[in-house]
Amino acid sequence: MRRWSVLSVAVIMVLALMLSACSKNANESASTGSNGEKKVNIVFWNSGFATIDENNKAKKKEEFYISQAVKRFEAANPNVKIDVQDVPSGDELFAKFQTASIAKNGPDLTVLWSGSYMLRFKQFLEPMDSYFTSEERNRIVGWSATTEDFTAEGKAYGVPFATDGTFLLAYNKKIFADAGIDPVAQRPKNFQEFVAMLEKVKTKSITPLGLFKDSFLHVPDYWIAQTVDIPGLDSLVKGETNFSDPKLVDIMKGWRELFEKNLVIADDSVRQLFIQGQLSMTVGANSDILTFAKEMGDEVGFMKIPDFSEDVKIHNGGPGGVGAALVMTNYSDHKKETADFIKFLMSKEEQINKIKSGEARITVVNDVDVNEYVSDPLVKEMQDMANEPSTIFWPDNVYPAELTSEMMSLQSLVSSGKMTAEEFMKKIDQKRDSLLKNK
Amino acid sequence: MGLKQERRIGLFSLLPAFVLLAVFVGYPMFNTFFHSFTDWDGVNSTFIGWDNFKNIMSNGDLPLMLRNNLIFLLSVPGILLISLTVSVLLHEEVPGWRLFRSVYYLPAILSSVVIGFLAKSMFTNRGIVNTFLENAGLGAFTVDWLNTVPTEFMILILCFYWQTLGQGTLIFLSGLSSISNELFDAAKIDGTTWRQRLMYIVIPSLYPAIFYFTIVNVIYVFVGLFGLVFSITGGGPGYETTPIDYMIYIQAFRSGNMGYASALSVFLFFIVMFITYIQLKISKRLEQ
Repeated sequence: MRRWSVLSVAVIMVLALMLSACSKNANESASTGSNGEKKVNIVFWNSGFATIDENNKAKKKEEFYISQAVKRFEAANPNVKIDVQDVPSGDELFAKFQTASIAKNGPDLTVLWSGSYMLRFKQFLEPMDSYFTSEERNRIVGWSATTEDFTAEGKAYGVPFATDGTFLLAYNKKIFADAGIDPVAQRPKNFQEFVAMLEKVKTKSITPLGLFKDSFLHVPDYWIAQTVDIPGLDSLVKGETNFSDPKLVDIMKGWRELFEKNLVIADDSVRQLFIQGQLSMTVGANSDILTFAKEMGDEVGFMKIPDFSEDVKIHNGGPGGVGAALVMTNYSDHKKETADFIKFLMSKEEQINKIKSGEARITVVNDVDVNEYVSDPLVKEMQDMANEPSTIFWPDNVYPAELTSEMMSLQSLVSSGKMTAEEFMKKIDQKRDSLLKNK
Repeated sequence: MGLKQERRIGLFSLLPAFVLLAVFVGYPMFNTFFHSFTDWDGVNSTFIGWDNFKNIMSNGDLPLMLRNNLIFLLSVPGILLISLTVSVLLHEEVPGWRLFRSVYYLPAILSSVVIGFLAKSMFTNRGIVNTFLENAGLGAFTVDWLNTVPTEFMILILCFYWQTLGQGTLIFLSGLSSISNELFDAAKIDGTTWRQRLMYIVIPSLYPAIFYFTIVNVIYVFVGLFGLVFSITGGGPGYETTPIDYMIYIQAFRSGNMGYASALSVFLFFIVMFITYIQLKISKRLEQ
């Protein structure tokens, strides 16, 4: 009998250990402080603030803006501790956030890409409307990137975090001068002129354009958006118009042409190659342009992506805007404290501190004038461009995530010539239709 | 203690292991089977019957995914032969065998993602391979390795071989150590060649190890290639290098179709079960 008891105790212990491993550790969310007051622990999965400086590896984590902001917040709120955990952005964060949220052991707060990327996780996100007064909401721009109907007044599942400004083309002035081109004065009016310009550079035995693997989102996706305008994008998503419209098919034909004529290399190392003078042109946004300017001095110039044709609805623009949002989980045990921390980060003082730290160049709050704190004309230009109506919100943030995933998977077949532009657009229409059917 | 009581205690002592298996293996499996019949976003699920399976069969992706898995499957005999040859050479203590034993095993302890990123950095447009070819005056042979389908498969299979060689060598070396030296010596005295010793002594003696290695790697090419595909090709261009396990990831974590991904997992489960069954049948016949 005694043996049975011993075995039963062993089994119960194993089960208890298993259950305790599965349950959320209470200490993760609250602990008792030295003065006996219960301390609230907020878990922040940080994918939006810098904690590593590629150019200065000696810089300690405590020296970065987010560590200092957390210190200031904790000093003002002694009962709250912010546990900043660095998480890579993009697919890895989405997968981690999704699985953790299903198990309800994700963070209280994180930064997700805005638009449909974050709305995919709507069931795990706390609507932010009740936490912000209309005054507080009015001083932050870009709410439409975080609302379910993409309108500034809609139900917001996140708070605009930062703006990408406008995505630009950076060019090497010397290479262009040697080829006898001034890309600003002789700005290409359409795709054919753009190709002619790149071909002229190619005669100097330099690769004309360097793109990232995901540059479909920066270039042809933008050309689609500028051709149909924002309401047109909405019609495409709703199935009222088709991607296989000949005007849009031409864009994909142009995308193929760039590769067919060897005017482009698509490689993740294009930033370095451009700085080393091995490329005449590459794409870049807000953070890239200052890096290029710092590394290349006066040798670098910037221009907006040329219009695909003279008939497009939006001229001289670029993709950009609020590409990320601060989101709070609806299973957080400390919603009020988390919302307070978000408001603290978005406060005028903290936005100024962030700009002064050099980690942010432009802002999404309208009560801070970047010009007062930054003397770099490039930054001022980028802030101005971010506010221009010709800056189109990232089209991929508007499409359903599945549609973007399909586009990203198949677009390389077009650039490599394995799929025609017509076939690609037809496939995208089919995918969109099947998504609408299953909705 | 009676036999019955002993049996009961034996069974009872296995209970914790069964409970653990039921919780950590049985429950997720049951859950996946259940959700394969639902439209599931991770939280909310709606029962949709066979729709996910019908969709898998009809949406046109299946033949491409099966082709990709088949290409990897066909690469298994290659690594079997290489591992076998290397382990025989190491067993025969060729010069430098101690060093090579460690060198060959080293990649086995690295994660697939590390190997994948290393290969990716080597084979990019401006990577070490193309740079070397250019510097050697072989610029005409430079290839956009990671954007061309045959070369992408070549790199994936190369990494699979690189990672598996150590494991294979270890398995076959331990098998070889059980063959008596007298047998080898007798064969040598009888004038057998190296190839004859390999064919008539080594391979028949290593039969259980070969079978184990094959079955493990056949299962691996269906369920374990995710890390390499994720880090090297991302399944592209298009879905040209996407095996079924990578498509499960795309559907579950990029598109949010957890129900469809569950159905694909069930589909993959039955494919692996079927192939393993065939292998067992062949193995039994060979034993006879």
